[in-house]
Amino acid sequence: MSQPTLTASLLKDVAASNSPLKAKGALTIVAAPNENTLPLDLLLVLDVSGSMKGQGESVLQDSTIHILNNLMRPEDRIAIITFNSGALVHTAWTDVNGTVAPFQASGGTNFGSAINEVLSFLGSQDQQGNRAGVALFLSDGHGSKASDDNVRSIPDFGFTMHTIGVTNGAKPEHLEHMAELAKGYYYDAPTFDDVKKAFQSIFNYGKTIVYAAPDLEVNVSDGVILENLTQTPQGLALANSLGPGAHSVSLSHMVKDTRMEISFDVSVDAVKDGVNSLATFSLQGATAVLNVRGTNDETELYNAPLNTDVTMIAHSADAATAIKRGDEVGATRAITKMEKLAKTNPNAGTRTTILTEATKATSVGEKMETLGRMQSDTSGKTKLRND
Amino acid sequence: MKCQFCDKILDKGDLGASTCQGCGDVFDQTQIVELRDHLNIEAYTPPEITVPVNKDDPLVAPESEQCVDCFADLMGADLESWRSGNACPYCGASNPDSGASSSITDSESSDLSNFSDLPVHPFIVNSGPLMGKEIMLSIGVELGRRSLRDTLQDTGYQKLLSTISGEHMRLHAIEDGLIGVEDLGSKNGTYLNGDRVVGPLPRPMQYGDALSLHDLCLTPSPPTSPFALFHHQQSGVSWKLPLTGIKQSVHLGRWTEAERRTPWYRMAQLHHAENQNQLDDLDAISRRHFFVDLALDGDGVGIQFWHELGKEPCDVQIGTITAETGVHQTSTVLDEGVRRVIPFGTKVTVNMRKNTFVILTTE
Repeated sequence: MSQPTLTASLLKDVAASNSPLKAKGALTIVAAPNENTLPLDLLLVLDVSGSMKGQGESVLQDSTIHILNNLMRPEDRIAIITFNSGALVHTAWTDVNGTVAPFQASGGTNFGSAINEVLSFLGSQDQQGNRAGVALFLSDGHGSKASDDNVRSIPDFGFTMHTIGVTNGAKPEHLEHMAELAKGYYYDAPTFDDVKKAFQSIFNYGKTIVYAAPDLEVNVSDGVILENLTQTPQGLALANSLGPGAHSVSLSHMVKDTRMEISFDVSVDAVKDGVNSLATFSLQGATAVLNVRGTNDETELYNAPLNTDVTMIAHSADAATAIKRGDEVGATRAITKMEKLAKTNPNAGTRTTILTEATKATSVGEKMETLGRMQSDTSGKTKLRND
Repeated sequence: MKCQFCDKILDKGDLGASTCQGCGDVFDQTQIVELRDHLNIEAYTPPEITVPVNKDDPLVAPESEQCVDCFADLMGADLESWRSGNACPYCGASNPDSGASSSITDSESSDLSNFSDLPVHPFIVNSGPLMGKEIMLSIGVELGRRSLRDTLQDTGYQKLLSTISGEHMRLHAIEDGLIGVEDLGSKNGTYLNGDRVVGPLPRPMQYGDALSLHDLCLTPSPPTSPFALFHHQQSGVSWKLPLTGIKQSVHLGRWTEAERRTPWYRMAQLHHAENQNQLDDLDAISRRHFFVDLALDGDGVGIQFWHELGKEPCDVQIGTITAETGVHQTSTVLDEGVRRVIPFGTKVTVNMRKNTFVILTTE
């Protein structure tokens, strides 16, 4: 297997010696271009509560048939969990030739039961690192909240979970929160056509996965703290704070021909003279070291160039995070800074345009979906996934 | 001066990190300049680069021809005897051109006949009567007075060519499509952007770099199209920018953000080296003056002008766009920050203080 390319950088690669430092940093990960894509395991988690009776049932039925008939490849597998007040495995893993029984809608909506059943089902299977696991959580209404810790542990099984809000009554914030915890994206799908588009999108995305929910190993040096680790451009929160020592951070699936970017804040107790190794990042056999060079030369310090890539990643993390929490002022501030940056970093221009589009979206769901569809190509140029 | 978000009083520590050490806010360029001014810290001024000017008369290589057999350089009386049809005084070989009206150009040109199958790279001429024209130079062989004479077939180059050695330089194809230059021990030297090329390792060049063989100035041009041709009218310097769908910024000031003089500016300085008035005109352009963004857009080229953020004010005078159709548009349509898509072939004229640039896009 070829190794990915990891690059760790600070906003400036020099800092004042014998002083504390707060700075922005970024890690970028690009898979080797010849990396093979993985077969897909799609786990549908479907809301069959009473409110889905009638038209909702046929939407689920038609969508599932659409997946089996049109989207799955021979090497892909599908399983289905249905939930209302409780949850059960409706269909165990099957390939494109499998059959799926009709859905019967009734009862309440309990997200917690659904997530528990997902964990139980995934835990009973042999984990297969050479397959890409994608769970798709589809609901039409307001469910009782699932435990954050439970949702967060889904990637431990090599799965990420996307959520789809299927009616205008869906609570995007809640579903988006679950998607974020499970390293997935939220899709806004008020109509059946939108549901089909979302499934199509999941498959387009799933067919390009090269690393299934990989773990990033982070070794933080003494006197250093990494905070607010955020995957950009989507604004996916990865970890709040990593102190000195070894850590493992679950990432979302790594997709072919894209660049995964992780923004973080670095605090250093005291920068020493010469090269300081602040942290080491390892993924799939590749390693990158985050260094800063301590100097007393003020001229060098004040005039060292800013890393415009790190600046763009930091601003886009700020913007996406602000958009997600509905902080328009914060989002505008970060986007304005990116606009200025676009003079020296053309990649920032495209990203500014898309983030601005996300802020202007009329519904929260649309905002979340726009962020989720953002991706960076291997050179750092931003585009919306063409689903 | 306080951080606008956490009210921390900003000091040198914040400036050094370009980040508020209280809340972690990253400063943009404007804030850095303001903080630098507030703390009375002088902006770093890179040392002025002294553009090498050849004050001495160039060494003119004596007229010579090589014996076709022993390759001895025949000069003076030996050359006269050789041209009159006598044998080489060193090896006794006869002159194959004896009886013919031998001229240096003819005999030297014949040596080039086997160059035709060699790989070549396009260059734009930035000196003499063919200024702005594109020529092709062979890669991997000795290039000098004779091969350049064959390429620059204009009598206006006789003086320039006399300062170039017979085997002056060699071009190398190096990785990623770049071209490199090696000096072959020439008398008057090979210069790249004003720096003398020395040693056996080829110095990589790219489009826009100034390659000087004493007074003969060339710049590599990419073999791709479409492109934008930039022409500085006062010096005659031209260079090409290959156009892609990705926006590229061209600097029309006296230095680039990377604090290096732009290649066109170096070339223009070389051309004006002996005329202080022209140098003064050239220096009327601000250092951080003006940028043009260009990118392919549909059937045309997206173009936009802007100046760099900074405390030094810009004094930009945009001239006119004169389309090939004869439509004359005033400068107001190309105010800074306004992006327009112009069709290929549209001539854009930028008047900047005492200098004029013409930008011509070609499909």
